[in-house]
Amino acid sequence: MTQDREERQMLDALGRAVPQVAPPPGLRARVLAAATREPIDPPLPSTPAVLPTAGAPSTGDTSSTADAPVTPARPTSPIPFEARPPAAVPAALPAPARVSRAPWLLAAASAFVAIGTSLGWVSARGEVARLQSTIAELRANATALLNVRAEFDRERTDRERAAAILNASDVHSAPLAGVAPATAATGRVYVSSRGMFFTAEALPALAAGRTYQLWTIVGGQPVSHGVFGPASDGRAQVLAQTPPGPVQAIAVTIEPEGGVPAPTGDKVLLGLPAAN
Amino acid sequence: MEGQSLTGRVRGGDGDGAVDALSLTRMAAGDESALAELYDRHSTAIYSLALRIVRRPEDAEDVVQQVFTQAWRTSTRFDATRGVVAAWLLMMARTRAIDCLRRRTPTRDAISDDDRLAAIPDPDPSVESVVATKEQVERVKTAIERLPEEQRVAVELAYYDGLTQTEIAARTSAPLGTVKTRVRSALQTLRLAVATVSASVGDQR
Repeated sequence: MTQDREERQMLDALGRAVPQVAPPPGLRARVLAAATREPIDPPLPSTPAVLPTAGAPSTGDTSSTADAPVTPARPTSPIPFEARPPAAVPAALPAPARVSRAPWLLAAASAFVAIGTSLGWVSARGEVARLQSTIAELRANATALLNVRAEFDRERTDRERAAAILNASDVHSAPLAGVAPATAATGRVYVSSRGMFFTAEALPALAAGRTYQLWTIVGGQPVSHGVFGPASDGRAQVLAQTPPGPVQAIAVTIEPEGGVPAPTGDKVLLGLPAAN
Repeated sequence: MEGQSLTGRVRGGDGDGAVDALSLTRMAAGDESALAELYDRHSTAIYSLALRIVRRPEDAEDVVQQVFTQAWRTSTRFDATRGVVAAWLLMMARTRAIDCLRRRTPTRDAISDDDRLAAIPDPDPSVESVVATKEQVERVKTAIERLPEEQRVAVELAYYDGLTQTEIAARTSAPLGTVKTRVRSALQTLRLAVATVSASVGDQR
């Protein structure tokens, strides 16, 4: 099966949907002692071109491929795409290569303090305290930068997905018109074999406990493409999978929070693709 | 079912994701206290899943040790931008626990090559790993309880016992086609539970 984000979340959730049992108290010391007896693998080359091989050759245990942390090649060419207001990405975002140095700087600082302290190089307590506060500061900076970078990467993945849909050779689009009383709302949906991309403007704000839900009608049956809320400016964008057949209608309805299996609420947007 | 709202988006419950990533960085520098912190944050989830799968405390403890040893050894290779530590650890726990089960029941190793695929495979390691929020976990728990009995049994055998669809068919005396339908239907239901929560959490941001 293809593994999209929600499927991976579901697999993770299944792993956590078990009775939570604290491990026996003695296990902690045993695990820490056993683990730290093992040598640490050398880092992979800095140009990530291949997935790391499974496990480590040194210990001969039964590592499976799933055990290796992931360092895949990442796309290098930015894809210009304006579907999302750029406000969410800070203008002066540091280049990823520089971001990734922060943790190493931190590690180096930690190591320096550890060595310095143990050898008596750093004798003044004040100096140790100063270095410790520098580490704390670097740690906080690194955390903030990692968060920014992760958010940036997610945005880029979304944009690339949307661009792939919009650039697909079989893409076609259909407008959605606002349904009274939301007559100001407009939307457009792009459907291709690469997925579906929906965008809307001037969506009314939702009452508490309500959500918008995107639908296609295929073979007379409603297909849910997820729930969403509008941004404060009334805009929304949704990435979804390609509908399972020719689309007879596209609609956005207001539903109870969490969504429903079949539409029940008021229509806000409606589109009738001309040709499919 | 699989909609992803770009405007109301929140990452699955990884508020501690950056903290974990930092722990891995410190571990890579040989900082043993970072491993201890990682253990304190995640050992209960790992032990609980391992115990659910292997059912023997001593085997579950062994799985926990393997997972943290692996995390220590490969801490230099973890890319924080591509994966969430919590999800990675849990995935390792499931893999190791199912390996342990298979070693205990050698007959299960006699599976033909074309039937090697578990009914629920591990997450694809080439894509970013994500972790479920507490709300999503609760939804999935509720959704499992509400599944029709035969679907619940099928999905539990697939996920917590790592059985292939053929093995589930044999275990439950059901035709293979029926088992496939049951697993697929159950996963669709569970995914809807995850999808709806994911977006509604985002709405509140």
